[in-house]
Amino acid sequence: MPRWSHLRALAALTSAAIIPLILRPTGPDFERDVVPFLKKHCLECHEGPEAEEGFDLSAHLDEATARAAFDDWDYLRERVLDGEMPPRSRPRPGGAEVESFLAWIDEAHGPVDLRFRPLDPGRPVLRRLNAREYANTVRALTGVEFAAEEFFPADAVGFGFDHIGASLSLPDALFEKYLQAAEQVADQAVVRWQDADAAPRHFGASDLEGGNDRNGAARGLYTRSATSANLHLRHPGTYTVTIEAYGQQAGPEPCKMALSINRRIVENFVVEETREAPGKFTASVPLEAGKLQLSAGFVNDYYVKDEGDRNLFVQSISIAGPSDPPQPTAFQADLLGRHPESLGKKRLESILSDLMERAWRRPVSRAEVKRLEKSLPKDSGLAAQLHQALVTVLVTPRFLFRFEADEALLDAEREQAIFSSFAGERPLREQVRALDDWELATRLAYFLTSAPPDAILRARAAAGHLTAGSSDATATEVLCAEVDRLLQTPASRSFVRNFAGQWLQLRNLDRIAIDTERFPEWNLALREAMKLESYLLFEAVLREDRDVRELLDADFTFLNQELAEHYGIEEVQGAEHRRVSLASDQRAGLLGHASVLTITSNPARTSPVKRGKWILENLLGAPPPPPPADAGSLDESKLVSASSLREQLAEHRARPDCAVCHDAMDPLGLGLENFGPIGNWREQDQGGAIDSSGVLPDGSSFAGATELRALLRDDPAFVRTLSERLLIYALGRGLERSDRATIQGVLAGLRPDQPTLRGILHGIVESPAFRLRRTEP
Amino acid sequence: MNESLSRRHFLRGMGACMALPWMASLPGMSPAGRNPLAPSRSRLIYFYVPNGVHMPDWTPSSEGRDYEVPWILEPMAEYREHFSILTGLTQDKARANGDGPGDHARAAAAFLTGVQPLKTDGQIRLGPSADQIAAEAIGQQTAFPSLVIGCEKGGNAGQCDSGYSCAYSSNLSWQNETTPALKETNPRLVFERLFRGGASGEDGKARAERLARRRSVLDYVEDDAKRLNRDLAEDDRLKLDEYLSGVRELERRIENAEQEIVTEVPESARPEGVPRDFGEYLRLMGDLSILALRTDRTRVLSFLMANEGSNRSYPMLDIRDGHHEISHHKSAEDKIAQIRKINRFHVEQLAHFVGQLLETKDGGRTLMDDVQMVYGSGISDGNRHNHDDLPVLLIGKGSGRLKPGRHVKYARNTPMNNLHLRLLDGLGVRVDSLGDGTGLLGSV
Repeated sequence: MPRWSHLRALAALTSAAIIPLILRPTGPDFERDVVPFLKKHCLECHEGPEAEEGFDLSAHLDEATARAAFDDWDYLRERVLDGEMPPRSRPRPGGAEVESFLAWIDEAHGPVDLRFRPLDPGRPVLRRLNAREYANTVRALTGVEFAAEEFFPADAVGFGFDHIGASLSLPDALFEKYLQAAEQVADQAVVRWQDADAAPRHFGASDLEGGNDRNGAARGLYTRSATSANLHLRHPGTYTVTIEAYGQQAGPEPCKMALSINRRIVENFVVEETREAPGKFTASVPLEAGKLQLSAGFVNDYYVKDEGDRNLFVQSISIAGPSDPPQPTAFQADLLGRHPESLGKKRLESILSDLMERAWRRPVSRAEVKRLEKSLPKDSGLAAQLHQALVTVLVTPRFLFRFEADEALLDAEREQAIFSSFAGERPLREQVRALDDWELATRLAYFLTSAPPDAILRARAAAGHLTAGSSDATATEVLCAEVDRLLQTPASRSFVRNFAGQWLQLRNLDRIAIDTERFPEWNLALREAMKLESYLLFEAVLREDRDVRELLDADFTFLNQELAEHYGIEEVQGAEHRRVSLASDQRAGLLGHASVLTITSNPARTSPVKRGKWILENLLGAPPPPPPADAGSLDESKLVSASSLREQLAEHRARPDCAVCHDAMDPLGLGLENFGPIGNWREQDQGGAIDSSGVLPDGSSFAGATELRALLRDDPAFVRTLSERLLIYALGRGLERSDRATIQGVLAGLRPDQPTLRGILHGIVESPAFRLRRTEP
Repeated sequence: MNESLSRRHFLRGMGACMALPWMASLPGMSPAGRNPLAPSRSRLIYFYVPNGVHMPDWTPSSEGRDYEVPWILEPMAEYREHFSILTGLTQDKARANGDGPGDHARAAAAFLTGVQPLKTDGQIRLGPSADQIAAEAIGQQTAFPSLVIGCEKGGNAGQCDSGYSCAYSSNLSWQNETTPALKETNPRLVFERLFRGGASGEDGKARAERLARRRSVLDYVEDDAKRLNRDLAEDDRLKLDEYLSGVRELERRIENAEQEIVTEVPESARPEGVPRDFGEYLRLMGDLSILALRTDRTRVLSFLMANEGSNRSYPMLDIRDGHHEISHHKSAEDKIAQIRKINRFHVEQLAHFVGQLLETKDGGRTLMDDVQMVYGSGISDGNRHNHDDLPVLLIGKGSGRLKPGRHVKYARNTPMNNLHLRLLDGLGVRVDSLGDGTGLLGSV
C-alpha cells in the first residue's frame, strides 16, 4: 500500500517534531511556557472580536481549549517557527521563549495531521546547472572532460547547497563563458577535418617575416637572427617542415641553422650549401593546433674584417601534413555510425534530433530540429555542421537549465492515478501537476549522480515506467529500483561528495587556514586524507545499509598511514585508505574525524563555540539564532589554558541573552575539547588538564566525547535533520511549511530500529514533493 | 627561458612600485598610435578591503593639505599629491536597521549600492551598484563594460554571515536587484577573457569565422529563449531574463569586436593560475587590471581584495590567526599590532597599483589624470563593526574634476552614496537616485 495514503502509527522517530531532545528543558508547561508568550507577543492584536485575521487567541489561554484545537495550534506553530509571527515590526521573542513555546505545542499536538492539510508539493525555481553538474553533463553527452569548476565562478550557496535554483544567478559575463566553454568542448568533441586541410603550405621569401629581403628571392640573415612563417594550424599532428636555404660561407665552420617552433629550437642543421646549389632541410615535428610560428635562425654568425663574413639565406619555409590525419572522435564516430550515410538528405536531421534529445533530456519536435538545422552553415561539410550544432545546443536554455513545465504533460488519466495514490483522504491543492517521465528521470539522475539520465533511465522514461509502472512493478517500485541501481553506478560518488561535502561542510577544508608553525604536520595530503575518511564513512553507511546513526558512532573508520599516525593508531601502512576497526571509541563517528574537528577550529586553537554551533546546525537542525548585536565575541586569545576557556565561557553564559544559545553550544563544544585544532588528540592544553564533561539544557549530562556522541545519536532530531537536508538537496529548493508533511512521511517509512540512508532516499523519491509540481509561484 | 618561469621569477623579485616589463612596449600606447588616454576617457575604479581598518592609524589628526601621514598609509606617502583621505562618510544601509547581526555581509553588499540587503538564506535582493550603473552607461564604448576582480572565490559550504546569503559577502558589484556581476578570480582566465577573446592563438581569418559562427549561435538561442519565455511563470521567467540579458550583451560585444583594433598583448603576460603567495596574487591581479585599463579594454574596474569577513591568515607577515578573528581585537595590544600590519600590507598593494597608474604615460598624461578611484571598506573599525566614519581614499585627478592631496572631513552620517553620485556625475552619468544617496558630495 502506498506510504502516503494514511497516517501510520507513530514511530519513535517522528515523535520529536522540531526541537532536539537535548535542547528541551524539563517537560513543557502550559502556564509557564505558553500563557506568558501569548500575552506578551500575540494578544495585543489577536484578542476579542476585532482580532487580526479573525484569529482570536484569548480563548486559548485555557489549556483544555488549547489542547483540543489542533488546527489553530498547528497553524500557530508554523507561523512562529517561520518567524512570521510576531511580525517583524514587533519586538522579537527570545530564542528560549520560542523554544519552550514550540516544545509545548509539539508535546500537546504531535505531528502534522495530514487530513487537514492540502497536499502541496512545492515548486523549485528553474535551475541552472552548477559547475559540477555542467562538467558531468558535458562528459555524459560528448565524452569531453571540461574543467568547469576552474572555468566558471563559484556557484552561490543557498540553504547550504550550491545547486539551489533561486540562488544560482546568471550574470551577463557568465553567458559569455558558457559560449566559450561550448566552443572549447566542441573543438574537442568534433574533429573538423577537410581534405583541403592536407594541402601543403608554402612561404616564399616575400611571405616570411624577419631578415633582409633579397628581392623576393631569399631572406638574408647577417647577424644572429631569424626569419619566420606565421600561420594558424587547424589540426594537431605530425608535420613535415622544409626549409630551403644556403650559406655565404666563411671562417672555420659552415653555416648553422636552427628550426624553432614558437621560439623553441626543435632541430639544428648544418648548411654547407651555397647560393649556386641551395639545400633542402626537413624535419618531422609534432605540432599543436593554433597559432604557429616557424622560424629559421642563424646561430653562428662570423665576421672578421678583411677575412670573411658568414651569412645565412633562407628561400622558403613550407609545411605539409599532418602525416596522421585526425580521426573522428568517439563521440563523432558514434553519432555518424548511428545515422548512416544511407539516410541521405535526412541524415543531418536525424543526427541533430539525436543530439538535441540527449542534450535537452527529453524528446524534441521535428519543428525544433528543423530550426536548428536551418541555423547551421550550408555546404561546409557534415563535421563543421555538427561542430556548430554542438556549440549551439550547449548554450541553449534547455541544456543549461533544467526545465519543468507548468502545463500538464501527462494524459489526464495517468495524472489522476498518481494523484489518488498520494491523496487518499487528503485534499489536493489546486494548481498541481504530476511530472512526466522525462522530468522525473532528470530529477532522479541529478539527485543521485549530479549528471543527466543514463541510457537505462532514458529507456525507462521512454517506456513510461516512471509514471505508469512496468508490467511487473508499480511506478513507485520502479522509482525505488532506479534509486538502488543508480547508487550502484560509479556516478553515484558525486552524490556522496556533493551531498556529504556540503552537509558536513567538508568542502570548507579546502580553504581552511592552519597555523603551520604550530602544526608542521599539516599539509595537503593530510587534508585530503581527512576529507576522504569522512566521505568513505558516509559511503559505507550508504552502501551497506547501515543505521544512519552510525555516522555518529561507527566502530570502524577509513585511514591511510598519514592519518592513522595523526590519530596515533598503529599498523596502517601506505597512502591508500583502508577500513580500520577501532579498538577504542576515541575516533568513533564523524565527531571523532579530524575533518569535522578542523573545520570547526580557528587557525591556531579550538573553538568550542564553533563546534557547538556546527553540531546544532548540521546534526540537530537547530541553528542558534545570531547573537545579539552587542554581544561581541569571546576573546579566546587571552586564554592560556583549557580550564580558563571553560571559565570564560561560563562567565559569558551568566548573561541571560547569551545563555539562551550558549547553554547548548558551549557544553557540546567543550565535550570535544580533547581534540585539538586539527583533530589531534590531547589530554592537556597549555599545561592544564582537559575537562570534557558537560550538562545539556535538558539536564542530561556526559563525562566526555563518547557519552556526548551517544546523546546525539539517540536524539531523533539527527535523523530528521539529515532527512531535511537530503530533501533540500533532492529538490534544489529551501523547504516550505508544506514540506513538513513530506518529512513526516519519510520518517514514518523508516524502520525505527534501523533507519538507513536508502530508506530516506526511497521515501523522498516516492513523495509528492519529488513527483509533483505546483504550477504557480 | 621558460616564459612562465621568468614571469614568476620576476614577480617574486619585484619591488613595491615596478610595472611589468612588457607593459612598456605595448602597442596602442605609443604617441603615434590611437590615444587611449584622451581626456574624455575617464575611468572609475573601486578597491575594497574587508574587516575595516584600525582607524587610529588611518585618520590623520589634522585636516587640509599638511596632514601628517598616518602609519597605515605610509606606503602611499610618496603619492600624497594624488589622493585625498575622506573622513566621516557613512554607509547607513550596512547597519542592522532592525535586521540583527550580519555586519560583514551588509558592509560589502551596501558599499556600492547603498541598499539594505534582504536577509534570507537562498534568496538575494539588493540593488544595482555604482560601478555597474557606470558600466551600463559608459561601458558600451569599450569591449568590456566593466571588469570585476576578486582575490577570493565565492562562498563554499554553509552560510557566510548570520543568515545572509554568501553572495553578499563575496560580491561588490550588482547588475540589478538579484544578479551579482561575474567576479573573476583566476588570473589566467582574466587574461584570456580580456585579451584573447576567450580563445588562444588564432589569426584574423579564424577570428572572423568564429565571430560569424557566434552570431549565428546567438541568433538561434535568442529566438529559442524567447519562445520558452512565453510559457513561463514569473519566477522562472526572471531566470530566463538573466539568460537573455547575457545573450544581448554578447551580441553587442561581437558587433563592437568587428570594429575593434585587436591589441597585441604578448603571450609572456599570460599568467598560469593563482599564485600561492597572497601578495603575489594581489599584485598579479592588479597588473592585469592595469593592463586592461591601459589597453582600454574597459573603463570600469572593481577589485575585491578579499571577501568581506575574510578569515585568511597572513603568513608572509608572520600572522597565523585569521584576519576576521584578529579584527575583533578587544583592544588587545598584540592583536592591534597585527591588524595594523594587515591594513598596511593592503595599502602597500594599493601603492603598487597607484604607482602603475602614474607610470602609464602618454603625451604628458598618465592614467592617474583620468582616474576616479576609491579605496576603502564598508566597515570602519573591525572590532566595533560600525559603518560610520568609513576608511575611504579618493585617488586620481578625474580628468580635472578632483582636487587630490588633502584630508577632508565630512559631517557625521554623510552618505557614502553621495561620493558614488559625485563620481558618476564626473563620468557624465546622471542618475535620479542611488540607494540612500542625497546629492553630490562636495569638497572632493
